[in-house]
Formats: sequence, C-alpha cells, structure tokens
Amino acid sequence: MAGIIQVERISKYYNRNQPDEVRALSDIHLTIAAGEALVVNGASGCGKTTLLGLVGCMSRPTSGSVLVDGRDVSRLPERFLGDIRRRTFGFIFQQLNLIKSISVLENTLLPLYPGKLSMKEMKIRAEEILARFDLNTRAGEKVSRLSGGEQQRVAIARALIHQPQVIIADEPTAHLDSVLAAELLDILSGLNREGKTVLIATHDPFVSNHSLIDRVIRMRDGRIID
Amino acid sequence: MIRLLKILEFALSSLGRRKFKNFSIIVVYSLTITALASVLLLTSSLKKTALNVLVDGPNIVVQRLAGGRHDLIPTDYARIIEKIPGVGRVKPRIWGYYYDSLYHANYTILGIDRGSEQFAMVEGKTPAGDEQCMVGQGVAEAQHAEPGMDLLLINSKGIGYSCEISGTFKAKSALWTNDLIVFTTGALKRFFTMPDGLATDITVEVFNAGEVALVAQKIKRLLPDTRPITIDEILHTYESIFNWRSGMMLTIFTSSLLAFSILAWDKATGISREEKREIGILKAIGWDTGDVLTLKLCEGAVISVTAFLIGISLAYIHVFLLNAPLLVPVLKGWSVLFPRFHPVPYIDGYQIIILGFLTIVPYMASTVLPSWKAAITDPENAMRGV
Amino acid sequence: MILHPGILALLLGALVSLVLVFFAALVGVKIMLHWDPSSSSAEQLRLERTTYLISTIVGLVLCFSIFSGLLFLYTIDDIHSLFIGAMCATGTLNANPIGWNVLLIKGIIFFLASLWVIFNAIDQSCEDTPLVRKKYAVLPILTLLLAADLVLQFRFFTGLHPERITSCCGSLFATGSGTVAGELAGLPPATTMIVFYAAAFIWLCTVLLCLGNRSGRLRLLLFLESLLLLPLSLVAVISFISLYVYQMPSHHCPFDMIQKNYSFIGYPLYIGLFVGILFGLVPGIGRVLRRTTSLKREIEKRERKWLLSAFVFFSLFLVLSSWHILFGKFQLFSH
Repeated sequence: MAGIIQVERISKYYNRNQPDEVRALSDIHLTIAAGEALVVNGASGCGKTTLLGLVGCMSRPTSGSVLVDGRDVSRLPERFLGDIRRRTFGFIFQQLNLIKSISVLENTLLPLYPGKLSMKEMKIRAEEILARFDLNTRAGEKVSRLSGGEQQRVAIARALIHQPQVIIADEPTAHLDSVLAAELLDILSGLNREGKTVLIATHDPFVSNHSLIDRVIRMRDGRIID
Repeated sequence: MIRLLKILEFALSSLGRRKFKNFSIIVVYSLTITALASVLLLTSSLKKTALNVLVDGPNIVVQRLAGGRHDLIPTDYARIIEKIPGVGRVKPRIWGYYYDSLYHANYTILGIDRGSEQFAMVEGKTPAGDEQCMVGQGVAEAQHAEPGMDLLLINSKGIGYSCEISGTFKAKSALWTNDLIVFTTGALKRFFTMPDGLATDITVEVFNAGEVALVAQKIKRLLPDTRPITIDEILHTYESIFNWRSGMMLTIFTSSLLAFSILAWDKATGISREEKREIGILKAIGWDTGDVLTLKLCEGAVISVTAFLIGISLAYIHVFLLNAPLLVPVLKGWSVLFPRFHPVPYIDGYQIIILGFLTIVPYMASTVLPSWKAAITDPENAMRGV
Repeated sequence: MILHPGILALLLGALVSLVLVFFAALVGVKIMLHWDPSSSSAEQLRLERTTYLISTIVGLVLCFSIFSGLLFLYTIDDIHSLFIGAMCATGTLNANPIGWNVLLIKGIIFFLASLWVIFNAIDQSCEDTPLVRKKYAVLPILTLLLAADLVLQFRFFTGLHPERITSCCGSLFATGSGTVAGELAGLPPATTMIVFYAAAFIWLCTVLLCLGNRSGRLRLLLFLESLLLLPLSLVAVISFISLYVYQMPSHHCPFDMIQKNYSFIGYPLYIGLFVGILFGLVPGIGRVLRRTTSLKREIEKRERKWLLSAFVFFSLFLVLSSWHILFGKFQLFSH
C-alpha cells in the first residue's frame, strides 16, 4: 500500500566531510498510511526531530528519498518546500513557537500570509478554527497573557488553519502537566478520527500507550530498531 | 500581488512591535533627509527667485571698459545702440554701492526716472521727487526707518544728503531689494557727483530672444570699448554659483548619510535574538526564504518612505515657514543685510527624485545583505528551539 | 560642474548599483562553478539560498536604473541654461556628445535587467532551475554595462564646460545640419510616417498572429521586428511625433515632452513604447531558451500575458503619439 508519506533509505549527515561530521539518521525506511497515528519513540538525540524535519519538508536528506503524496520532495529546491509544507503539514512544536507579543488571532493567521487567500478569507478561517478551540473570546488578546493550556490550543489552531492532511508534533507533552497532556491527546484523537494523519515524536510513555496511537516505532542512534 | 500586500501589512505590524529600535532609525534617517532636503529646497528656491527676476530684466547690459575695468559709459551710446534692428528700449542706468559706516552695511543705490519704473512689490509710493527715496526691508530695519521718516546719507565729498522715505519694498522681494535704496536719477547723479552725459551702464531690450547673441556682437563691433553682457551669461553665472553652493553642502551631507547607512547596516545585521526566533518560527510554519526576504525589504521600504516623508515635511517647514534659520549663515552672500528673507515655496519632482537617490538608494542597498542573511534562517532551527 | 545636486545623485546611484551588481556577479560565478542540482549537500543548499540574494540585487538595480534614467533626463534639462545656445536637454547632450552614449547604455541596461528579472522568475518556478548557468553568465555583462554607465556619466559631466557655446535641438535637429540627428529630423515626415505606421501595423499583426499560433518562427520574427521597431519608433518621435506634440514645425526634441509644459505626456508615451517592445522581445528569447519540459511549460503558461502586454502597451504608445496628428490643431501638411 502506498502511504501518504514514504521514506526510502534516507540518511542525514550534518557537517558532511568535516571533522565534526554527525550522522543523524542512517538508512531509514518508513511508510505512513493516510489516517494513521504514529509515534516515533526514543531517547533524546536519537534522531527523532531530524526524521520529523525530513518528513515535514523542513530539510532535505543527504541520501535516499522522501515521497509526499507520491511526489519525491527530497531533491526539490528549497523554494518549493515551503508551499508543500504549508499544504500538507501542520506543526506543533515542543516550545509551541508562538510569537508572544502579538494577539491570538495574529498568531493563528501567520501561516496564511504567503498564500493566496485574501485578508478577509484568512480572518474568517481563523475565527472558525479559534471557535472550535474555545478561543474566539480571546482572539484579540496577546498570547503572553494566556494560560499554558490556552497557548497550547493556539499552537494547535495555527497548525490546523491550513487544513493540512498530516499533523506533526515534536515532543508535544514535554512541558505539560498530566491534565494538559491528556487534553492535547484528546484533541489529536479527535483530529485523527476526522481522517488526519498524526505523527508524534516523543519519549513520553503516556503518549505511546494512548488509545489513539496505531503504531509505535523505536529509534536509537539514528536507526529504527523496531 | 495579494501576497505582497499581506506581507506588507505584516511588516507594518511587525515594525510596530519593535518601536524603539525602528523609531531611533527613523529619527536619524529623517533628520539626515531633512538636512539634505533643506539645502536642496533652499537653493532651488533662491535660484528660482533669482532667475525669475533676471528673466524679467533687460536682455543685454552694456558696460564700458577702460583699462579692462568697468567705467562710466557715455549716454550717447544709447542712441547708437537704438539703431540696431530688433532692439527695443535702450536705457542708461545709474547705480552704485554705498557703505554705511554707522551700521557697517553695504547698500545698493539705484536711480530711476520719475514715473518711468513700476515696482510691483512696494508699500507706500515710488519717489515722486528728488527729495524722496524708497528703501528695501533690510535698509529700513537697519536704520529703524519707515515711510515718512528721513534717510541721511553722506557722499564721497563729505556732503550729507537727507531725503524722505516715500515707500519700502515688501519683504517678499527681499532677496533682490533688501539692501536697495532707490533715488530719482537726478538726485543720484548729484549724490555720486557724476558728470552729465555719463551713466553706469546701459540696458538693452531685444524683441526676439533668439537674436540676443547677434545684437550683442553688433554692439561690440559698433562700440569696441564696451562689454555687452547677455542675460544668458548672467543666468548661467548664477546657476553655477547656486549649484556649486548646494553641491558643496550636499557633498558634506551625503558623506554623513553614508556614515548613517553604515550605522543602519550595523544595526540591521545585529538582528536581535527575539527577531531571529520569530523568523525561525515563520519559516517553520511554511514561510519560505522569498517570503521572509520580501518581509524584510518591505520593512526597509516602509522605514525609508516614512523617514523620507517626515524628512521632506520637516525641511519644508524649516525652509519655507521658518526661513531656514540653520542654513542661511552658510548660504547667504556677502551682505550683512541678507538674513531677513522669505524663500518662495517651491518644490518639484526633480528635487524629490534627487533626494530619493541620495537617501533611499544607499539605505536600501545597505539593507539587502542583512535582510537576506535573516531570511535564510534554517527552518529546522525553530524545531530545535535554537 | 560635478557639484550639481542632480549629478551627485546620479553618480552615487550609479556607484551603488555597480557595487551591488559586481558583488552579485562574483557570487554568481561561485554558483556557476559549484552548482549541482543532484546533490543534497549543505553546500548546494547554501548556493540555492544565495540565488535569492542575487535576484533581490538585480531587481533593486533594475528599479534604480529606471529612476536613474529619469533623473538623467531631468538633470540635463535642468543644466541646459549653463550652456550658451542650449535651450533644452538636447543642448546639454551636444555640449558633450558622450551624453548620447550614456542614454544608449542606460537603455541597454534597462532591457537587459528587465529580461533578466523576467527569465529569472521563470527559472525559479522550474524545479530543475534549468537556466541557472546562463543567468549568472549574464551578470558580468551587466556589471560591465553598469561600470560603463558610471564612467561615461562621470566623463560626460566632468567634460561639460559651461563656457562652450553649444547647439540646441533647434540647430541639432535642423534639417541639413550634417549630424545624424539632423538627418533624422530632416527625413521627409510623410515618408517616415508611412514607414513607421506600416512597421507598427506589421508588428501588431505579428503579435496577434503569435497569440493564435504556436509557431516558433513567428516569435523569432517578432523578436527581430521589435529590435527594428524600437529605433524606428524613436526616429518617428524625433521626425514627426514631437512636432505634433509641441505643435511647432521645427521642435524635434524627444525629451521636452516629459516636462510639465506638455502635461508629462512623455511618461505614458515612452512607458508604452519601452514596455511594449520589451514584451515583444520576450517570447522570441523564450523560444530559444525552452530546452527542457519544465521551461516549456512555464513559458507557455506566461506567453499569452506577454503578448497581450506587448499589444496593449505599444498600442498606448501609438494612440498617444497619433492623437495630436489625428485630432490636434497643428497641421504639418497644410498648404
């Protein structure tokens, strides 16, 4: 079965051919089916984030290929990756990566600026998505004045505004207490039920053992071990 | 197009968030532009006024030379010149300078025929008789005189002349009339103790502007001891002087502008951690290098345009509403009486495009590299929280 | 002479443009030497990112060059009164004929930089970036042109001597003056008119044919026609269009019409001419360059827009220049 994402024999080196060369990933095979919920598990430094970056078109592999929707993106010039990234992936980062000094609404709008939607259409879409996460009353508020849970929901809203097929989350529960972690996983479950593919990198057993997860992959030293 | 507008909107809000940093850049930038624009506006306004006055004046001024120096010219020459075809009115003029030792000022004294001259910008009346005179604003102020009062001048023979001030020139024409005293020709001749039949120079009007040079040549041939000066020659002498002066000032200011550009470059290269983090976030959520580069260039353009508008407005206020208090000491001529004048508001596309070239071009050029450096931030950095 | 504010601004602008493009050309050489689209090394990624820098610089320099052309015309018009006998910009140019070369160089820079920007955009929208080497090979040429622009402008302005008595457009374009410009102005207006309008008609027809036909030869023909039509149009401006614009039987100056006295008619007129010709050149060049399927696709996607722009802009030029001939009071051929 051809998955939405196929990773074929990829390796990734940093500082290639230099004394401080790092081999972050080697010889990875991975197929992710549409609608699947997948966890990449492993200690920090094992290459999880690098793998997510490659899958999410943030960087290109040193060798091997990554197919997104059947299209090989591993040799594409960087200028085409932004577009694919926007259309296909929604990112939830460990540090949330919100701009604290602007409002909830503005943060949610950020991914839409380079696209073709008009400012009006963008706002309509943002209001819909904020309403879904009970943030519509706080739309004008600065992110720095929100609680941790609310900030997390803003980050999710921003990841979803492009209506991506795949949600990529990197250590999403690392800084959360158990209540918030549970809330996050509920949201992700809901999205998965709607048909979105979910890809999570974590070393938190709470995530790996959650009912949402279809499959767990373990990594060590840049390789998949099972 | 819509992408550009949206990114521009984001650039505006993003500039607003870093108020302090951008505010200081805009202040320095617009002050530099104000300085440059003031020089340019002032000199071109002066030039414009000067040219307007000259264009209305005579086409040729004929002087007599003796030993290579300017000498009094026989009024008979006027009759000879009149006979040249195409020549209109020919008039001998009497004028000269007067040094007022009491007020340490130089005046220009001009004689007019009674009722023959019309001055447009006069308060009061033109001199009706030999006992009356008319003075410029500067003279009136120096002497604390106003119409109705008497003016006392002492000639080279030590004889004092007193005459009633019948009118003053309005301040608007001050560039030309500030140091001027107008007598009737007869009175002035007596004051200068000039013999009859002689004048300072002769003005010649030529009907067809295209024949001025030809008429000048003919005068030179008919009267070999004269020097005909055409209006074009006067014009381009003035042009050269004004261009030279404003050019000097501009050179100085442009070098200070370059220094400012280096400062701006330095400031822009040192992008704050916060800004770097933001760019990382933008790239991680799908902005590509081109989008961020557009954003940064938009920011630069917004800063430039804002500073440009502020700078030009300030210069306009400085030069035309406040009469350029900061520049006059540098640009004014030799006369102590010069300071009080009101440049006529004059601004055109040419000056704006010159200013744009001198300011926006170096600024934009100096922001290209730092903008690009910021734009190529690796999106992966945001994931790792670098 | 050099201390005139306009001249200072021109020289500063030329210097800044030259420095920028020189830098871009150096970086471009590095890209040409190391470009390897099949590699995913960090080096290749760095090079890809550098292309943005070069694109930005050339775009900026194109902007500068357009304004510098305007500034140049304004400046030579502003200083004409320094030259005895000069009555408009043409007089200043005659005071030191290097000025004509400056204009020529500025024109070439405008067309080259515009074409570069257009084809760079196409190249960037192809995944395989097929034009990369050709693109950067052009940059050293652009650098040389900008250097020539700076040097010639410097020599032009330093070589201007206000005492020199010069001829103005009246005498330069006076029929039988023996100069090339005089010859142009002396061309019989009726013949020039017929040749110009016939050429413009053929050119417009070629554009329309290209719109309905995919033939490559037609596009190359349009390219050649555009190359010929540009000088022919300029001749037409000097020979008879200017006469109608100024409504004077002997005023042939091509620059006066950008002044306020003629309600800035020169701007839309020349924009129409230059942009129209520019887009007349593009399809032919595109035909020669489209070797890869990706380029072919991208060029075909845009070609319609180019041809329509060419048609619309040149028509603007035609309408504006013919307006006075058809509806003005001035009659060149009255008896």
